[in-house]
Amino acid sequence: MPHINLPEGIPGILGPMAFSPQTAKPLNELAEVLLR
Amino acid sequence: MLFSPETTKPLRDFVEVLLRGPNSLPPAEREMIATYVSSQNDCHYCQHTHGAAAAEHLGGNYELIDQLKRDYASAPVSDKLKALLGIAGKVQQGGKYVTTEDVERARAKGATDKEIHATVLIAAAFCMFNRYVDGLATWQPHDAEMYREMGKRLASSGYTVPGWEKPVQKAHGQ
Repeated sequence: MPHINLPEGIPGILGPMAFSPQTAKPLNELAEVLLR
Repeated sequence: MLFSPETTKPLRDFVEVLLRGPNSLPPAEREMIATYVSSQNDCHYCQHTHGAAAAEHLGGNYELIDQLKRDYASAPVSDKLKALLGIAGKVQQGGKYVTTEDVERARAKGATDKEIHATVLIAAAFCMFNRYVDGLATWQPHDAEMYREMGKRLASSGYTVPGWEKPVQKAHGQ
C-alpha cells in the first residue's frame, strides 16, 4: 500500500504525478526534452 | 545549466514549484530538506546554495542551517520537520528504506500527505541534482559571500527570474 493516499489503480510514477499535477508538469517537460 | 538551456528551463520550473510553489511546508523548510539531502550527498555547491536560500528565508540564520546539517535531531526545529528530515534521509539512501513507521511518525507530528509527498520528491530530486552537479565535476567555488548573495536572490525572487546565478559569474570574473 502506498505511504500516502494516491489515486488508486495508477501504476508507478503516474500515481504521484496524478496526486501532484503542479510538480508533474515540469517533470514531464524535462523527460520530453531529455528523452525525445 | 548554462551549457544546456533546453534541459535547464524545465529544471528551473520544477525547482520553483518544488521549493516555492503552493504547499503548507514553508519554502524555508523545503530549502532545509534540500540542504540536508545535498549535505548527505556531500554536494558542496548544492548544500551551500540551498543552505543560503534557507538561511535567507529566516532572516540570515546560517547557524541553524549548520546545526541542521550536523545533527538535525538537536536543532531547534519542529518535531514535524525532524520527522520529515528522517524520511528525506531515508530517500537519500534509497527509496525502499522509507518505512511505514517513518511515515506514521511524521503523520503523528502533524505532517499531511502533501507535505510527505513534497519531502520525498525534494529528497529524490536533490539526489538527481547533486549527481548532475558532481557527475560532471562542475566548478564549485568555496566562497561563502557568493553563496550568501545567491541565497538572498533565491529567497527573494526564486529560480525562474533570470540573474540569480550572477554571483557565480562574478566569482568567475565574468
